[in-house]
Amino acid sequence: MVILITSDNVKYVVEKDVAELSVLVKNMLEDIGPSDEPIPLHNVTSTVFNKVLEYCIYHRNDPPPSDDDEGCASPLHKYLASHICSEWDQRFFDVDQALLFDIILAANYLDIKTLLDDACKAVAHLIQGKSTEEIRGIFNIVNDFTPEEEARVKKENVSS
Amino acid sequence: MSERVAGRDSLGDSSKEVQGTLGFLELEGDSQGSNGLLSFPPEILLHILSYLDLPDLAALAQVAPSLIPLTNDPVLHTQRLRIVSPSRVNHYLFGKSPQGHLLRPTVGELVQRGVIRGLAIERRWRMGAYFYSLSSIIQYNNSIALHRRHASHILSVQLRRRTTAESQAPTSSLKSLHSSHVLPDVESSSINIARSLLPVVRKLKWSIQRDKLAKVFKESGMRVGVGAWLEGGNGAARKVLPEDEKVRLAVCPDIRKTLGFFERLGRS
Repeated sequence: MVILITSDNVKYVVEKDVAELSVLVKNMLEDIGPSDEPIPLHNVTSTVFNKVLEYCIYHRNDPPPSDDDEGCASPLHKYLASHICSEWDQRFFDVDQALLFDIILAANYLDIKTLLDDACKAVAHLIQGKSTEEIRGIFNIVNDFTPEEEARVKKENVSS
Repeated sequence: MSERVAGRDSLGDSSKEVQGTLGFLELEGDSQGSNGLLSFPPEILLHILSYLDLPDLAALAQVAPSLIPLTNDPVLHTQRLRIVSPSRVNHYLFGKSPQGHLLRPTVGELVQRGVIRGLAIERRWRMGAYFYSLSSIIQYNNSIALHRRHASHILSVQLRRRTTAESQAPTSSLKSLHSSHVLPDVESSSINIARSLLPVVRKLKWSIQRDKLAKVFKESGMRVGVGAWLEGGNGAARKVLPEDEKVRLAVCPDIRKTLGFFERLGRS
C-alpha cells in the first residue's frame, strides 16, 4: 500500500502495483525504501488524480509500457495500436477540455506513458479534420497574427 | 485485499464528488485565463502533433505563431514519414532491383565509385598507423637509418675509387671529390654570388668556354689553312687530287649550269 497526497491535501491509499504505473512514484518508492511515509504529489489536484487513478486501476493488468518503448522500432505498429482505442478509453476521455489538459499535465508529471499517449491522442482527435478557425474555437485561442503574417503563413502552406 | 482497495477507491470517489465538481469549475476559470493548449510545454505539444497528419498540421500552423516552429519540427516529420509511408522508406533503405541488388549503394560500393574517400585513412588510423603512433615512429627511424647507410656507402665507394686512382695525393683526391660530389657547383657553393644570379653566371661560363674552344680551333686552322691542308702532300700522299673537271663537278654538282652560262657569254 502506498499513501499519496495531492496538492489540495487529499489522501489516497493505493495498491503498490497501481501506484507504480507512475514512473515518478515508482522511482520515489525505490529511493525511500519501504516506509509508511505519504508521498506528496505537488502538481496534481484531487480532481485530476481521481481520473488518473481510475485509468491506472482499469489498466493495471495491461502489459508494461516498456513493451511500448521497444515498439518504437516499428512506428507503424505503435500507430495502429494507438488508433485501436477501447470503448472504455473513449468514454474516459470524453471529459471537459480543461480536465483533459490537466490529465495530460498530470500524466507528464507522474510519468505514466500510456495515459499520456492516450490523452494526447484524444486531443489530437479533437484537432483532426478541423479548419484553423474551428481549432481556434475549440481551444479558445485568440488570433494574434498580424494580417501580413497570416497571409504569409497561408501562402507558405498553400505552396508546400 | 483488492476488494478492500476497490471499496476504498469507490468510497474516495463518492466522497470527493462534490469537491471534484468544485475543482472542475475552478479549472475552467483557469483555462479561460491562460490558453490551455498553448500553455503546454513543447514536448507535450509535439506528442500531440505526432498523432496528426499534414492537413491538420497546416491548419494548426495558422492558429498561432508559437505553433509554427512545432509544426515544422524535423523530428516530427521524420517520425510522420515513417508512419505514413513505411513502405516507401523501406524501399529507399532496403529496396532491391529485380536482379536482387540493393538499390541503395553500400559504403563499399560508394568507395569503389569514388563518392566516399578517406576510408583507408580511417582504417590505418584504427590500426595505429597514424602520425606519432609507435609503429610509424619506428618506421621513420628505420628509413632514416637506411638513408644514412646508403649515403655512407656511396661516400666510401667514391673515396676508395679516388684513393686507388691517385694514391699519391689523397688530400687532392678528397678535394676533387668535395668539389665534384659534395659541392657540384663552384658558384652555387660560393656565398659571393646571389642565388638569383646563378643562371646568368652559368650561361656566362658556358659562353666563355665556347669562345675558348672556338679560338683554339680557329688558331689551329689559321696556322695551317684549309687550302694548305687540301693541297698539302705530294704525289700519292696528296690529300686532294689536283683540280680538274671531275673533282670540281663532284665537289659542286651545280657548277655545270654556271659554267655553261659563262661559256655562252664568252662565245656570243
